[in-house]
Amino acid sequence: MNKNNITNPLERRRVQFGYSQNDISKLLGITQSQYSRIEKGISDPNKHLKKLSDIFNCMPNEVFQGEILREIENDFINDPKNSFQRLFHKRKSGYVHLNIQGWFTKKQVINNYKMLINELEDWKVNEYGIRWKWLTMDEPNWAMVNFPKIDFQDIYYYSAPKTKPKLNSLDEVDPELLKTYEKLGIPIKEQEVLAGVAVDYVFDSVSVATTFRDKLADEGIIFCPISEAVQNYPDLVKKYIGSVIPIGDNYYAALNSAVFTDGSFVYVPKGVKCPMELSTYFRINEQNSGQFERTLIIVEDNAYVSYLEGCTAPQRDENQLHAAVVELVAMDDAEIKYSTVQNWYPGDKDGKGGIYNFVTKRGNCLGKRSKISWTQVETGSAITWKYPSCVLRGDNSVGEFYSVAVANNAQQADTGTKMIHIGNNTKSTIISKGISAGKAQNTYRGQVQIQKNAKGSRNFTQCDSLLIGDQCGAHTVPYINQHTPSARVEHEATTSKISEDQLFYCLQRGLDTEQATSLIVNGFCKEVMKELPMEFAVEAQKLIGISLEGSVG
Amino acid sequence: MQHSIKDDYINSLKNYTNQFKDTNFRRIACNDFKSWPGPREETWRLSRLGSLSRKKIKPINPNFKKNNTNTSKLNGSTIIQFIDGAFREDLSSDMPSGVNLSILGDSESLEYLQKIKKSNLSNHPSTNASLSCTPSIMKLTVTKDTKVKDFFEIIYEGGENSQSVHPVLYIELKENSSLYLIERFNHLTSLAMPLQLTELRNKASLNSIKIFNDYKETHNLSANCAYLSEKSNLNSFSLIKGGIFTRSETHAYLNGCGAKLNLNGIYISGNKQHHDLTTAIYHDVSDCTSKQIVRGVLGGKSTGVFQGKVKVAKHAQRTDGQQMSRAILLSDSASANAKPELEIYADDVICAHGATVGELDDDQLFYLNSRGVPMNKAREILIKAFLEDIINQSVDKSLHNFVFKEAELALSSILTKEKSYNETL
Repeated sequence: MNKNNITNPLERRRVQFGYSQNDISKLLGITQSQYSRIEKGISDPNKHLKKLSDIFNCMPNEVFQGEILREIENDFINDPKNSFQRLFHKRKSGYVHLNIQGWFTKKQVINNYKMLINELEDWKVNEYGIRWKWLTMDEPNWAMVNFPKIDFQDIYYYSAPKTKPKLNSLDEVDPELLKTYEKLGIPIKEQEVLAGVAVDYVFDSVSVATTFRDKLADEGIIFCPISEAVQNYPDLVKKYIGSVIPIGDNYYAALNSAVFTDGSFVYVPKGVKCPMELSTYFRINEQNSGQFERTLIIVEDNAYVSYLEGCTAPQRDENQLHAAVVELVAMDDAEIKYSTVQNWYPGDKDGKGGIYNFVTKRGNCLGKRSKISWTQVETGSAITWKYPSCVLRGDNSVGEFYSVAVANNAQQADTGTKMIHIGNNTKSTIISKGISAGKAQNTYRGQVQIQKNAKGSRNFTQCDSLLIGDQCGAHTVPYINQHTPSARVEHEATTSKISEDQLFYCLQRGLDTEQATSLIVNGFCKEVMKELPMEFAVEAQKLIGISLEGSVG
Repeated sequence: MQHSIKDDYINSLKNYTNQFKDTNFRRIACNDFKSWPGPREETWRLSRLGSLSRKKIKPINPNFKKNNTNTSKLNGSTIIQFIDGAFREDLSSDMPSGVNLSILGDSESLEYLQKIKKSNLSNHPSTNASLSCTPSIMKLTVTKDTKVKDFFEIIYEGGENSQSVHPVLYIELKENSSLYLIERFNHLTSLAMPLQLTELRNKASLNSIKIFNDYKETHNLSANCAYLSEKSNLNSFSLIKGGIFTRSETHAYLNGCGAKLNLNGIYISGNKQHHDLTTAIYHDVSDCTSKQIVRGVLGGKSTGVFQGKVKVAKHAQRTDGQQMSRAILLSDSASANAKPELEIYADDVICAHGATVGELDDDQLFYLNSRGVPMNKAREILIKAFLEDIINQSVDKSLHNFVFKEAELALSSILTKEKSYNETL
């Protein structure tokens, strides 16, 4: 439907905001037909005017006038950054204050927000067709994690670093920021030189720098912030974004779709093997802000890319939300290797503070013989809620999932994967190692689904859990749905603690208990560690050692 | 429309319970029956009751004059006969010494209800419906130090179309006693909701075989709850082969140190059958052992579900929990679901589960084939071996033949139907 042809002002406004009749009726608490009658002017709208004006962010008397308040819109377009500052003066009540218009509710924050930033937002609404689906959804509660309800009104949905956001090279980055990296033991420069890693840095909501872009461009590879990709390669982005993870996929994906502002975009053309590891570092600097980045990786026929993701955040007493969405698309014979070392701030010993990591990651093996491999080392976050999945659509495609999840102190991790076999002869391997220490709870939750036509498919799943201390918990919740006889699914899981014999052996040879534990744990995770790229493996191994500190004795 | 029919069953429950005035436990149970569990409830996600809630079903009024029993009894066993969900003394054997069979009074029934409500079965539809509509709660007690030699056979029969039957049983084995129990479900009704509470005192030992062989259009929602005390031993084996929808749900609480539990099962499904074996084992104290082996053979358009949960509480150290489930799919339209779940809060445990779903092993088939065994026969041999193995492990020797024949009967009907499919291969 062409939105310019709509003559009904209310409908026009609704379409402009990307709502369906159903969405609005839900927000108003009436049935769709009742709303439809209001829209058509059959019913009396007076009862709902207040709410409608909330939803459409206008004065009640303007609900039935076609246009959004021009004045505000122009203000945002002319000077987006400053109007932003004006908008997000947070007050104690949890509402967000906008100088021009008064108090804002959660709905309005989201609605306003879309006008705020730049073309990306216009594009998101007009072309990507985001409806504010998120508002009509409920928070999921099936995961085995406990946390106080998140106040979504109390989150900054956008915050830009104080330095100039767009830089041409790493040298222009604020030295303070570089220092922070070095403190964290991630010597970027060194990595660049030694490993030739191209890095995209996403600070808070903005991508600050991307290195090696020219070199990659020579090969035809596009590696840039997604906000730029939207401007420069709109067709590509438009075609694939949301194709793997639809807007309404789950609560947090819907939230991300509504408010994402930046992230990474990778496109590898036909037949190109990406000569270096691509890498992104995510970091949440600003207090109270959530991070909602979006990653889209498209690999054409016969191409290959290896992508690394690292995450950090400084210590804060408050819980912060990280709700990212990662979409991978692999064509015929393509291969994507996606590795994550996640080291968000896990909170202190008693579970105060820390990041809530609610991430949706999914890869689509669209082409024949394509391969997607997820490797993750999860050491941080107060709560991890993450299920990197593969949809094996092409015949003979391969999905892999290797995971180490370490939870110490009061951390809670509910992580796993989904392997959806659709094409013939598809194969998947799941190796998951969970380690719990302190008072942590660690859950593996995974699904293997073999659909009717996935003849000759194979799956092998192994999930092992290791318990350190008698206060922690390790849980395994696998789902197997098999619909074709010629496929085979195998699942095995064990749970145990570090055996006395192993410890004794190490102690006898002069290691102390902590070293011995670390050694045994690293041995336990070896199968996964060997899947990580070299320089990441070392970092990951250290991380595991650090996160288990103090768990013994 | 569907909604009103759902309410229909609640109303008929209410009407039925109105007959019995002043019985608290019926009133409580009836009030707790809210609706059929929907697909949004995690434990019922894989087994949906949609077709059931669309039927018009009423609780049965037991007919005490019926005496046509069709089940052939085992030699030398003590019979306990249920028809239409009601105990029939005239058709049952006399109890040997040391075994009592009695009807629970109102106050004891209330206690029974409270014991069930303490468990995770409190919201199971069978719990509430059966407790509100059962003719009477039967209690089977084996007194202290009594080792019952003969097999006990409990036969459930009767029922009519569009009616639901509600046999409720309470089995208590006192200290150091033992019993071998065979339960056979041969209902002819639309809906059977047997409910059972088993309590094993210290060092008691119960062997139990359950054979679900209901009429082809029966829904059977069996609910079992078992409490195991110190050093007690429960060996349970279920063979599910009948009905259009059979779900056997067992919750076992290991409450005493050194308790041992075996929960084995087989499901053989063909046509449009849906078979579900759901178990939950709660290790609440240390030094307990639980083992589970489940095998399934699926043909036609059937679906099989195995949901097994092992929960180890915080101080239940030195727990050994093993779980193994395997399913073999024989036809293109069959499907198998498994959800083996571990929830562990103690560190000194050995817990493992394995689950596989697939078809018969090509190598094994080839081996037999190359030795002159035709394909059909080879498949039959392999499937039988697949089942015999577990029957041998979990059933008393003298009952091997009986149980195996029961399995074979179901198997042969599936295999003949799958024949055409095999030949095309």
